[in-house]
Amino acid sequence: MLSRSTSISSNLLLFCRFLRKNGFDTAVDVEEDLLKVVSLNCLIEDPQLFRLGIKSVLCKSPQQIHQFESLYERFWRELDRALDSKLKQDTDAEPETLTLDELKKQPPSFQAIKEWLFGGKNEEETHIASYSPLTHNAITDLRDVSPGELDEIIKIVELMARAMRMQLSKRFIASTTKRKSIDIRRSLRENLPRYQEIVSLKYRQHKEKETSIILLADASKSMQLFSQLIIQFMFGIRSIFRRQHVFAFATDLMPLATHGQDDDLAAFLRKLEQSGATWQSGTRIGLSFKQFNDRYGHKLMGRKNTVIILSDGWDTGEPDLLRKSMRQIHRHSKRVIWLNPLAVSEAWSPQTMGMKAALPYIDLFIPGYNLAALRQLAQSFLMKQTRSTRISRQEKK
Amino acid sequence: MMQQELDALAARLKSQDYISDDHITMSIFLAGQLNRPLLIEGPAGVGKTEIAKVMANLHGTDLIRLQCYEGLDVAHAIYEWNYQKQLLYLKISENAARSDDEKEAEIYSEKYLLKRPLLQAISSNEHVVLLIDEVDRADEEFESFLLEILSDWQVTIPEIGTIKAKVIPFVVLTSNRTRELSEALRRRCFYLWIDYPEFDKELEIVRTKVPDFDYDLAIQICRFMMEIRTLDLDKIPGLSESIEWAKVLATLHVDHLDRQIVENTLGIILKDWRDTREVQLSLSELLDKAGIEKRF
Repeated sequence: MLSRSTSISSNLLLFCRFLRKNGFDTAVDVEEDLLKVVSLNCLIEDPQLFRLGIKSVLCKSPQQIHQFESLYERFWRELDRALDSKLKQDTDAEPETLTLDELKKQPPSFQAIKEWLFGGKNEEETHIASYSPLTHNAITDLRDVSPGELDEIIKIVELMARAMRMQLSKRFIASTTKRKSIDIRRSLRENLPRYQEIVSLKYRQHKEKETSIILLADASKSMQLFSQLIIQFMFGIRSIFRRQHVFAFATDLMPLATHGQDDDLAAFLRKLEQSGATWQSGTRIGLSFKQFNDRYGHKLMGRKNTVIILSDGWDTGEPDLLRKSMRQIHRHSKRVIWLNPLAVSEAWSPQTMGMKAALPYIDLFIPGYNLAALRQLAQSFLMKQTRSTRISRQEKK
Repeated sequence: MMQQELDALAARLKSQDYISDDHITMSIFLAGQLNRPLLIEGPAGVGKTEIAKVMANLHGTDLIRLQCYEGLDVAHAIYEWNYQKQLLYLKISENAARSDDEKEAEIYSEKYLLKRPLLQAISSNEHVVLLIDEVDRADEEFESFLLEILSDWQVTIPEIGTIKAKVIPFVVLTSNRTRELSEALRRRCFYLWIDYPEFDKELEIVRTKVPDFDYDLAIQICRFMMEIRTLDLDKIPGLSESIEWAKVLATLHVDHLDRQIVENTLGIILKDWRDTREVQLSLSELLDKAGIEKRF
């Protein structure tokens, strides 16, 4: 609970701290502006004007405008509940003490996942997500993963990433090795001046270009069981690709790393930890994808990019929002691939509202999230398409 | 007291045919009070640039405009030396009894300085309005040049020194969000997001911008535009397209919308062939939703 101060300036600084704590960045010079604005005494005469005034100062992007509305309400509501005017630090609160049994019942923490990845032991693989009965079918994917299999997973991810890295461009370049396509223009240009007829043929080949991958990984509780493999996959993408953008999402979008590469797993895990991806919360896929489109869509999306989504499709948000967001992603990308770990069962059908809404905008749907699924994904990049699971645009219509 | 000031500002903006809302008025008011630049973002054609023009008219002052583009550099935005004039001076003064230092001091004086928009605004003796339009089109490096000007209101020219602003200009930066602007630039500005207007506001704007325009037709236009913006188009038509459409329909003496008229004038509001095709495919539905009579 927040502590209440009697000074409006203190409360505003408290508000700024509250905003920062909730992922809304405010710099010191912005706070300075805020205090200057409040010093215009007439502003505090009217609550509506006061709200509008501080909103104008603090918000620096459309996302912040959106965030501000809910955080403002929350802050003042909590402040109203505050009992005293003495400032209390959050750290004063005594830590909750749990018994060993209670601790065991707690869901696996991010730290535990980290330990597991570094070879330590925990009970994560024995936990069964109680989110859906379908999850039980998918459990076999990772429940009995041995260290040897884990190495294999990493190898597949890396192999797949390498296979995905280069794609052929529409543009041609001169070829000296491959003799598939004759370059008539160059053959004529180089032969005619010298021999007045074509003596030696010249060849051309498609130029190779690096593809850009955007990975959107579900970090909600229902995907907890697959967290290790997801992290490995994310890291594989981060370490191999030069042009990649990796995001996690749960109730909000969590940008992990949008620039550069990560060669160090420990550093990557720190980033993951800082992003707030804990595999503990609910899922709002539509909202997360909307945030992706709004914040990064115009920067990252392009018709040459492939978007890979790892999610079970369980969405507690508005299906219409997901539909719109998926449509936008589909429209502004080369390909949308969705890996759904719950779709491993033969009886599986897209029952969830989220999956139903997203399905028309998926170019390749890969059921399951296991070694076979990853191999299938790699295959899809090598072969460009897979017959069995490809949902053609005609079928979607 | 404050409300009265805001109302007065809104009324003054309206007198210049600019229909604002509380958020716009508050942002302009606070930017003026705290001498901060105003960064306006939003889709194309919602009236971002118009704010700078209106503010210049309100202050009865010049509007200095810097149109940003890829590759914009200091020489085109801040200052450049007039090399031809400098060479001419050196040629003339070849036989003059002046030392090299004196000559150097002379050719690097303000007399030989070509002031570009940013320096013009800084060195002006009046309270001018500076519009830095479509700043997102400029390179990221250019934003760094802007930082010194927008925070300290000064320009440093190595040969002369630092030129400080005599009167701080009212600065408006606009961006269509084709790329993300730096945090440093955002922090130095007051931020204003202008979205597509609500129905009532759009109606008021259309009627203000096209005087004597048929009221029912204006309603039909605004309803249709609201519907068309729900489609997933590459270039969603903005407010300027609504105004343009209204002007064209007024010129054609049209008093109502129907399928034929909409189809014939679709090119005014849509600027992309894919968008045009998509709208044509769902035209019946759009007209239906907008409550426009179908005539086949």
